[in-house]
Amino acid sequence: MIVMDSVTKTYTGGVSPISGFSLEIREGETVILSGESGSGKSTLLSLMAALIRPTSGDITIDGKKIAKLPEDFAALYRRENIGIIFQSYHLLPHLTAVENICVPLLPTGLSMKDITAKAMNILSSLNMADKANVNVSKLSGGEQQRTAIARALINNPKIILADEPTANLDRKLTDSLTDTFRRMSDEGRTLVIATHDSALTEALPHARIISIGHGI
Amino acid sequence: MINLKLLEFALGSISARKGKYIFISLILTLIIFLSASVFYITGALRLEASYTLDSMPDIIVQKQTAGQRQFIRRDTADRLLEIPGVSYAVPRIWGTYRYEYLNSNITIVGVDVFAGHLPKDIETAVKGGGMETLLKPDGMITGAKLADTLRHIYNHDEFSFQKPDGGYISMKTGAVFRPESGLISSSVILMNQDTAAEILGIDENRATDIAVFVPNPEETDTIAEKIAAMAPDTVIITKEKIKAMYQNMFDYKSGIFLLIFSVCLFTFFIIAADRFTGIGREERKEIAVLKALGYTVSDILKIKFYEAAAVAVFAFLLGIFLALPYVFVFHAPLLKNVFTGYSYLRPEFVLPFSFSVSDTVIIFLSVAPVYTASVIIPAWKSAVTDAGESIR
Amino acid sequence: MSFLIPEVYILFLSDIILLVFISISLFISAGIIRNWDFASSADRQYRLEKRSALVSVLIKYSLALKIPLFILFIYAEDKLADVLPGAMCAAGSVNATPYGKLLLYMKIFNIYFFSVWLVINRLDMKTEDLRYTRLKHMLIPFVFVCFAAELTLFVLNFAGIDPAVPVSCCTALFTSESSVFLSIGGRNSFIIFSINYVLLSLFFIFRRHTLYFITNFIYFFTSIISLILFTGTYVYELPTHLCPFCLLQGGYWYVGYLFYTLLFLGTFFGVSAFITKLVSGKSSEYIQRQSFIFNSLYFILSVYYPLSYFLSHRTWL
Ligand SMILES: Nc1ncnc2c1ncn2[C@@H]1O[C@H](COP(=O)(O)OP(=O)(O)O)[C@@H](O)[C@H]1O
Ligand SMILES: [Mg+2]
Repeated sequence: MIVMDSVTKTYTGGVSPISGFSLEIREGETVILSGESGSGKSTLLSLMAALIRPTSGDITIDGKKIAKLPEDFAALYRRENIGIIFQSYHLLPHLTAVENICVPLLPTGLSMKDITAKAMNILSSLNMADKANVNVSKLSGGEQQRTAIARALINNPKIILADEPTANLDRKLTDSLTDTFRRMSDEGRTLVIATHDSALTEALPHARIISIGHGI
Repeated sequence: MINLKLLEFALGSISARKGKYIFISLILTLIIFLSASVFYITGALRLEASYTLDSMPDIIVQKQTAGQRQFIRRDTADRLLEIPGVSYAVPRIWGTYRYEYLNSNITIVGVDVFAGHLPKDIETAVKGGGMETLLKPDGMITGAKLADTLRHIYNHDEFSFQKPDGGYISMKTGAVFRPESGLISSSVILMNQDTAAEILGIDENRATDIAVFVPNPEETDTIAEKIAAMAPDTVIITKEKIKAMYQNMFDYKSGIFLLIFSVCLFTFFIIAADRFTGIGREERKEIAVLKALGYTVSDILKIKFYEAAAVAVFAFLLGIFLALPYVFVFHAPLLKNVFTGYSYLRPEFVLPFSFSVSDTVIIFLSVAPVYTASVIIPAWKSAVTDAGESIR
Repeated sequence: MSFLIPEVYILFLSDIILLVFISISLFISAGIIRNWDFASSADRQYRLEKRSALVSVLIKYSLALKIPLFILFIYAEDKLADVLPGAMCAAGSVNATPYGKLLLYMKIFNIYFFSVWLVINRLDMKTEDLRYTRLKHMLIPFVFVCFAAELTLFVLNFAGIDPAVPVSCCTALFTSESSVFLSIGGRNSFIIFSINYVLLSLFFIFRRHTLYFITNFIYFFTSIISLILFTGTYVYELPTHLCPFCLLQGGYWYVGYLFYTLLFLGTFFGVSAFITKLVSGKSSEYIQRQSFIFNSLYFILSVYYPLSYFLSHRTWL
């Protein structure tokens, strides 16, 4: 599913968090990228999502090389294959929960009615249906995260990428989050979760853990 | 072609960041308002001029010696009639009467009710029951607006004119006429030709000018040449020449205005480009997130252009909506002064309503390119924000 | 002096803005022609990709402005005809200086040229390795030269118009000026045009793309000649009225705009089908079909006028 072959990313400033990195993730697998802050977890996720391009090396997703995709192709690739859950959710503060969830599908040819129906479905499955029309800035942290998860799911992606999903959550919310992750995994999606939270690692025993840090 | 979902999204983000757009919308509205007012004023003036032109004879012959206008001999008309191609020639008696109390000029027109080729407005007045009044030595027909003004001042329908020799002639308003032109309505009085001559101090065998009618417009120029040869002490004015002069005058006036206008536009461009360029950190992040969610460069560009177009449409409608009453209800205070250079226009002139679609399109095109230019580079800048910024 | 006429002034101002757009494009293209390297992962290459996107936007909006500005240009010429003694419609004012006609041709050519550029741009954006980026940027210097030529002609033309000098009216222009052109005769021009259309249809049906392109190119000229010499006279219902501009006036329901829009779309799609084939090696049935549909609509409209005249009057003009 996801194959990285001696990938190196050197940022403009000269920092190279990822260098000569190789990895293979099978379809349906749940993978946790664990490592200190600054070790390059987010960089790895960005590379998988084609948000940034590697300085060298190859990245292949589902047999498709994505390392050198032009911007617009990268965007379409994400629209079709990837759901991203950002560390601080990055919801649009002036929109309601359901509007936020619809955002990824607005440029497509689908009708607004279909998109909203999809969004409402996902919201119900996350027990958020009653909050659909609340402005996201009025939602609690946990609700905001569930909205962000719903948004990542609206395009029915094969791959879900989550960056530090427990960073802003308490114990109880973390439990419900791990449930959600398990459910996504059961649906056959490939999950890649970047975290340095050992609680999450313990709660997902079936996950393969890849530690990154200096010296890889 | 237009993605309505993205359009709605763009409208949503405008209302979320009103502050950024209000200022620019107002300036754009002001510019469109100015541009629209100018076009509507010139349109109205052109219409007003066409009223004048419609009733004009094909050729006007005036006497001029030593650079001074003189009254022309009435029998010149008979000589002009002999030129082949001239269908009719008639002496006309008219002139301005200074009315100090209102600090304005009244145009007195002597009407010979039996003459042919009367201007449309006068003919309507004569046929509409004015005949009798004009046959009386002390009857006059007043333009409707002027009649109102006079009645306001005197409370009755009489008015005394002072003759050049100091004596007075008292006239009674027998009828009122309602010309299309506001200018004529507010300044013209029709009366018996002899009385008019007396008030204006014109000798019995003289006239203000001679109107010549030529049925075939292609002959006008040759006939004008013949008249010039026959009466070297005359000035000959053809309708064509006046038409071209009006056209040029209006165009150049609005052209000069446009020059000033483009300075405003340029300033606007600087302000607008600056406003649109200044996308804050937050907005940058938002765009990076949209790109991470699968928006292409052209999707972001679309959103940016919808935003800009929404501002433009709003400002355009508002600008036009304000300009119409400003020009046609309030008669363009201040701005009108730019256009009052014409001897025949006095401060009290009103603008006849004239709305043309093509003018409105041109108003749009006068602003659209500059506006586009101010939007395009900032829009591109936001559209190529690195998607990678979303995850940091 | 005619620069102070609002319409002309707006045209001039807009052209200056377009000149800025195209100059920026030229500057960016120069960098891309020199440094484009798709395989590179250097920052410079990413920067060039982003700038390349700016050129696409600039040219797209230049074209989007050029089309309404072209209509404004015709309108301005039409309006000038009121001021210029002797002129009845835009034909007179276009011929008021020796540059007017060239300017008109250049404007038409540039609209086609910009459109073709955008076709290549589209092809380029559809390839994952941005295969035609260098090619499309190599064309930008030509775009610049053509536009500069148009602007120069614009200035020469409008600076040279003297409202005091009489010009000819349209019929006089088209009956005296080019006798070769006139000697074709109305009916013959229509026959040539019809043969041209039949060939076009055959090449479309049998998918001879290059031949279609060539006939499509000739169609542009035969159709306009036949419009002036034949169909137009039926629109005016006057055999001696030969003019491509009066059609655009309200008296004839602005039908000229329909004629010219159909013709532009038909021939433009024809050209872009060919360019697509030339650049990518693949032919696009869809574009080819669009071209044929619009060319056919134009043909039908051209036949409609004489035919309906004949049916109601039982005679030809
Ligand atoms: N866009 C960037 N430009 C320069 N340096 C960056 C950029 N993004 C990340 N870095 C650097 O790369 C290193 C890895 O960052 P990151 O992938 O965010 O690590 P993590 O997510 O594991 O905390 C850090 O030292 C960070 O400062
Ligand atoms: Mg991180």
